[in-house]
Amino acid sequence: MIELLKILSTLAVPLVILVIVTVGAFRNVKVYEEFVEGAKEGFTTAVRIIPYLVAMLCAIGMFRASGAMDILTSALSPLTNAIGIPSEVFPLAVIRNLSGSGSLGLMTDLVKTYGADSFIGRLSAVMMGSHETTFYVLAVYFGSVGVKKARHAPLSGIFADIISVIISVVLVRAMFL
Amino acid sequence: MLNWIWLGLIVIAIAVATGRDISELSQDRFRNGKAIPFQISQNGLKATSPDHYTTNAFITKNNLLHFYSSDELKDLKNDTVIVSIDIIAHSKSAGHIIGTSSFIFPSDAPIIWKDMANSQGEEKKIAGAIYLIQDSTVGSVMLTPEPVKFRILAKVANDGLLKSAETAVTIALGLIGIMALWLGIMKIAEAAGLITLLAKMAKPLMVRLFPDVPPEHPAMGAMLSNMAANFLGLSNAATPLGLKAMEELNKLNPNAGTATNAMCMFLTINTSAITLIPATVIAIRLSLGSKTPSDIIIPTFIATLVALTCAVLFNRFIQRFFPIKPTND
Repeated sequence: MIELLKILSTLAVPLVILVIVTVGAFRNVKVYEEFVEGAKEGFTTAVRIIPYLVAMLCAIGMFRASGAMDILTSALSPLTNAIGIPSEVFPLAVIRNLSGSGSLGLMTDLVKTYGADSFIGRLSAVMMGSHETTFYVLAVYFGSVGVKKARHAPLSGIFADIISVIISVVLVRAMFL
Repeated sequence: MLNWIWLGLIVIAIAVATGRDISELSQDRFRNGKAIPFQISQNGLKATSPDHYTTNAFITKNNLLHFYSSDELKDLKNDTVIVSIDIIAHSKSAGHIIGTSSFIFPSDAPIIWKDMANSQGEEKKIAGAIYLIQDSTVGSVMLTPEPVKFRILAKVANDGLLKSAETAVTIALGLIGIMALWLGIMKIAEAAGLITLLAKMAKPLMVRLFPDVPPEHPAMGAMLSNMAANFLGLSNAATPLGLKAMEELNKLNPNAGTATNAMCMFLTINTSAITLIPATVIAIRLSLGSKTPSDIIIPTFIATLVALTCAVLFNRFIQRFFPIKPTND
């Protein structure tokens, strides 16, 4: 089952492209011309998100460089201990919303230090697997259409993250301890 | 909302950095302006050119304890720390050298030295002024490192601000190729009617999630293809398709610059990150010696599924508290 899933994930890209192109050809779509027409938008969209991305990544970069993260995690540790999140893993729960490369590095570090099949190792892997860099997605998606007033999107994004952290802890505790 | 988050991140960062810098200065953590007393062994000093010397020098843990506060030396394991010093002499007389120098410390040296080196832009090297006395048997080196001031604020400005600005552009430019590729494929799928087919299949679900979007609108198909890409773990494809969907959603937006309910719902679904196979994580676990690297698939899937459901309900519930205010700007 797991093997099948792995093969599926490797074959997904070539398969998707093959299906789309063949079905297109069968329905008399001028595949090459349509492709080029669509691809034209790639450049403008990528360039359009630059200001939003600069704004977001700079604020996050400053926050991380200042060491405010350590202060935040130690301030929140009574709360996180109460719901059963080990204090070693909590920084990962925060940083996974802010920085993809940062959280990947931290997760690798945790798995290496505590062992891949330890509770902390498994928990950090599940947290990493269920993560999305919320603030990056907000900046890029809203930036691409020039939306500056995000309304309730950040709040429900953060809510989703908190829920997924709590569920991860509960599940890993229940399944592996 | 984003205004407050952005402002908060910046203000907190600068406040924390300033606070830590002031506390380091007031405690004189780095002993600015004071000389570290190293000792050199007999005949340790070697001249590599007339004004240029190298030597190994050492300092005992006891002497370090006299110099720095004991908290800084908690992790120190060995009783002596040996460094290698590089000296450029400015004035010399019998047994005395005055000059500038830098010393390289081993990886088990006190953490405080690493912080000092980092503030000078180095890994394991600290520069400073030197006064060396040597007679026939022993020698001592008084090394005064360059003072460390406002190192965290400097780090916030360099690592935090300037490097992030560069990274942002690198990421955006890196997206160009992959954007072009998937937007091109998407266009073929559209022309072939595949997107409409997908939208028709998922219509009952989509009209409930996005009541403001007409069921036949191209935004539906674009959002679905983004969700499918996310689900299959094709993160490369997910972003271009998601941006395409945002563009379609924006065509239905009467107030440019303000997010619609549908956009917020779409973002919420995206940030819940429902994934079938977290391939990267499995690969890392495998490489670090896990016996069952794939056993996190099920908890990960359930966690994202529950988070997604909760977030969708939460999003629907709170949207009434964030009315759209038409603005003039």
